[in-house]
Amino acid sequence: MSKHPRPQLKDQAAQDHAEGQSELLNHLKQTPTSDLHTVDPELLARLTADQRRELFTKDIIVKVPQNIIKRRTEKVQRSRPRLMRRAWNILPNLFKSQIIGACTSLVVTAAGMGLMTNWPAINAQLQHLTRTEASDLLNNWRILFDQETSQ
Amino acid sequence: MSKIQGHHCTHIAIVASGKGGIGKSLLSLAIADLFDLNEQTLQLYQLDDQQRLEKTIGQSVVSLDIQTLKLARRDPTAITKVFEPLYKGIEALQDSNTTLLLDVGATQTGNLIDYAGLIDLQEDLELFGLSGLVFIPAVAEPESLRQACRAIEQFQTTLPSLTPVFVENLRDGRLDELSAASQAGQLYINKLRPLIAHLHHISMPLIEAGSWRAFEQNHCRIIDVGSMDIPAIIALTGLSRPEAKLARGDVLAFFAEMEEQLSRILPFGEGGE
Repeated sequence: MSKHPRPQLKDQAAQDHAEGQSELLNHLKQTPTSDLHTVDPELLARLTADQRRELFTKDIIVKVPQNIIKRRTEKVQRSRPRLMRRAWNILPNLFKSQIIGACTSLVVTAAGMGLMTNWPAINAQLQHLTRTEASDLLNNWRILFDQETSQ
Repeated sequence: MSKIQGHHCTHIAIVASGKGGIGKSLLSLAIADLFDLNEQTLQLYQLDDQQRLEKTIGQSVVSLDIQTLKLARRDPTAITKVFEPLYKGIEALQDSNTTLLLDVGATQTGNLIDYAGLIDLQEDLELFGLSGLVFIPAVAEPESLRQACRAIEQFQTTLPSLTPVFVENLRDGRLDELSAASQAGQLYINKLRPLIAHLHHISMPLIEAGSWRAFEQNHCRIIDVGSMDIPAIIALTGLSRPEAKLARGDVLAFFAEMEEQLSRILPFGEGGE
């Protein structure tokens, strides 16, 4: 069994993390942007903020349940703010995530909740943000609606 | 978090709590590996039907016979027979530089306390001039906090020569961040926090995103993960190359942090006491 002098533990951990992140980024760059949402979010979360910006060259897509979209079609013209609040209520945890936080836009589609249920890691990250930080993050986002569902 | 001045003379270290799945075995393994890393002698005992420590470290771990404990109702001597190897180990600590570590499974804390009360182990510890620590881990969850309170009170009453150390496992977040309105928050504020106010309090860091799980399933020691090369980790765990590097980094970062935390109360990195 090899023995590690004390300082080497932290040094080797830092080196492993840096090399692992770099190799992960190179690996994920080979994934088409449209398929990035299928990548394990726990892996994406391992990248640095700069690396995530490098990776996400397009808007990330967050899928919203169909019933919300139906309500939107009824009320969106006169009540878009309300719709947005509803969407926020459904996606509270996603808003504070480092992954989405690294993107410049949020695209809302009607395709279902699949993606949301696949993102358990985000919950863990959210515990560390205050309401104010989350609010600041939200206010800095540009909200887009997917063409297909905004008709 | 309490700042601990100097090191205790640690003849005995016990890891115990009445709640399972809160990191007792991982903490025991970290302590064992840090003793190994610092080339200090540690005798390992376990009172746990899952026998995780023995599966990981091997035959050098003395497993106390849980099955015989079940006979204690019919045979009052059964409990002393089960603990006899431990008692001999404690006796042998006199005039020795060795530390004895006992890993107690969640369901066995009561049996250890019963045994200690039955033979008045406290009196013997005083007679032998032995002292030590009881590490009591807990996560931010109600039953875990309840059992931690119970264990602290039990050890303080039955074995006052052993100083309780509260180990805050950060897996589910920090206790100070619990909502005061939640059940766990109420327990922490009203019961645990006053109880640990004057106790040693250390943190057990989170290992990122289950990085330890792949090694744990293969009964790896923490100390061995650092010396494994990446192809060996890939072969052992099935992780991709980047994931294998991140996982090894996570385990080593955990180990480094555990050493920093435990060094506040155990004589690591100073060539022993």
